[in-house]
Amino acid sequence: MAVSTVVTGNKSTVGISEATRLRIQKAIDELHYRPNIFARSLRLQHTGTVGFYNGFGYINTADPFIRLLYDGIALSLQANDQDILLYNGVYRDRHESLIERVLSQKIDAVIVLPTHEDRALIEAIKTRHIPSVILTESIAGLKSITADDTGGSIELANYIVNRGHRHILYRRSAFPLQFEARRFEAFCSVIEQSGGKVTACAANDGMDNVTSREEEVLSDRLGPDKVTAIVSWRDHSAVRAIDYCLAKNMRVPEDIAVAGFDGIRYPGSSHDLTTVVAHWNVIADKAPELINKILKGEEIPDNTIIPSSLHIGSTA
Amino acid sequence: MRAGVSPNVVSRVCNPESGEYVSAASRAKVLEAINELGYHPDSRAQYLRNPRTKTIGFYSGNGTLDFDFEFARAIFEGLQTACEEFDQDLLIFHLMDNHTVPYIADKVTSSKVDGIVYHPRDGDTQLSDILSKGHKPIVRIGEPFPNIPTVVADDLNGGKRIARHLYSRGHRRVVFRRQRHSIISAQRRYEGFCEAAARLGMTVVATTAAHIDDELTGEELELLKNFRSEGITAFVCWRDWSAAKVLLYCEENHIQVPSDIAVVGFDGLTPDFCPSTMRLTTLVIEWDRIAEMAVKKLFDLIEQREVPDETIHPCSLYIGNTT
Repeated sequence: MAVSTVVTGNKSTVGISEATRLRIQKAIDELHYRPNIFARSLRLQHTGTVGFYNGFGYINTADPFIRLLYDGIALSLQANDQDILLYNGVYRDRHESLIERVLSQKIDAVIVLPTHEDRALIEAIKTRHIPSVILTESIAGLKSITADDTGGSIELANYIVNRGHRHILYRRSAFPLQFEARRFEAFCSVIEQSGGKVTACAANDGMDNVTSREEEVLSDRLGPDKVTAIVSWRDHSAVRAIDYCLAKNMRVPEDIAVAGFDGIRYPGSSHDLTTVVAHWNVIADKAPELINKILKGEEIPDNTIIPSSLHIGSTA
Repeated sequence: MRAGVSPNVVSRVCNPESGEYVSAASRAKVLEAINELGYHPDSRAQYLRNPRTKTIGFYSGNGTLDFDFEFARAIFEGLQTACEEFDQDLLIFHLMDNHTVPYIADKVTSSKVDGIVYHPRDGDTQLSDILSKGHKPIVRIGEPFPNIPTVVADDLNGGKRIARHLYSRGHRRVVFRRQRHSIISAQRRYEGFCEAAARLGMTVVATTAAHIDDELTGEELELLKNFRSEGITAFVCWRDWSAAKVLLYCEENHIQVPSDIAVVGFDGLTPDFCPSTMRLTTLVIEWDRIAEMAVKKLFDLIEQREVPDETIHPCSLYIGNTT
């Protein structure tokens, strides 16, 4: 009892004499004894570390989206004296060994930013009851935090309709992402109710470059059914669309309006984009808070939705 | 047991890296039982047997990595790249400023990581002193310290290159703005510069910043005001931040750079407040490569391979429009 009191500091209420304390401390110093956190965590189930699994792999600080998320999560964990564990090179192996790596007991909980290739990981988190918060996707049986994709898209769609647009090109993601589908479906429902028309085009890759199909859709600049607005699943895609239009001598927004979703300013882009601001900083701040509520055994809602807001810039 | 095989066989199936033989039938039985029972190896229990976490820690004496600074971005990217290469997880220690040094030392040398890369706060000795006496593999970046392997930039040769560059542009009498703290890397920049300058017959007027933020001192302001009568043609600064303060002053006071005064920095981390028309001549330190190298050296230490006290990474001279 006395030894553990000295080793763990002053956590115990058991009193020991100064002489005993010094004797034990001397033995500790001589033997270079250090409490083993892993052994201790077997008993206490506690490492003071939260994992951040970023399905896109590397945290590129030049990408404002992932930088914003990492920054918010790291600062929020720091305020709680928790360390952050990162898993680099995940794209090399998304299966068994990755799952073992991410769900190892080096961590108390994990924050997951999934891609469409992370279904198996998410299933494993669910079946093993790993304390977790999933960003951007809501999955039955797991806790998630998302932007208000539906509400934000409805607000944007109403704005687009009120500006008189009837035929809209919707630029979708190359990948099947749940939040992207929520944005798209909510947008379409408003446009269709108003008697408008949406032409949807998926990107060919993760870079959101304008596809040949989109070039074809945009080539009609005179017909009665011509596209007058482009709405993109994310700001990155909207910025690409603006660059394309300007290069083709289309004025934005006079000839064609462009809007996005995220509220992230990309470096080198000078456009004041009309967009739905998803408040990613709030989401990043909040995810560790939710994790710590789960770790304390508190109840949290299945899906925490952070309200988004429409920013009317100069592009639509 | 559920699979009807011996514990030894189960162990062989669960640890295929042992390379021991298991029949296909036994393997199938064991795997079926594992799936039914939802068994997963506990990495902490495994750790007790094989104490390797495959995790590398990073601790910055300046607190959390602030990505508003290019230095922090470069270090973070280098750490990630190297951890990927060595197949290690990366643990970033988050320690609040209000902790005591022994507490921090205890935290960063914990069994959560196999070793740590440490970026010291300017002037730190207390924490390094504790860490140097411990048993945890540690590599420092930027600033050497006794008994801790360090990855540093080639400050000495960098200083020499600046002197040769200025000499070739006709400068014979220059100011060297030194740092306020005693920082070994900054000391080497100065010594390298002075050594080469002396050999070339240049005169060096040394000044020392009075403030940690490298604000210009009264002495330096006098030298800038009277640069013609003082015969001074260049300001060499221990870091880009310090050089940017000189450029800012020159812009505000209509001193032409580089025709009146040439300005040189060191480290390649030109701050945002630097006048936008100025591309500072400086020694560029590849901080991302230094961080990568630190992880590589740390991995060598963990694997119990010899590591030199100092690993010196070359810098390259960037010639902008300030010289």
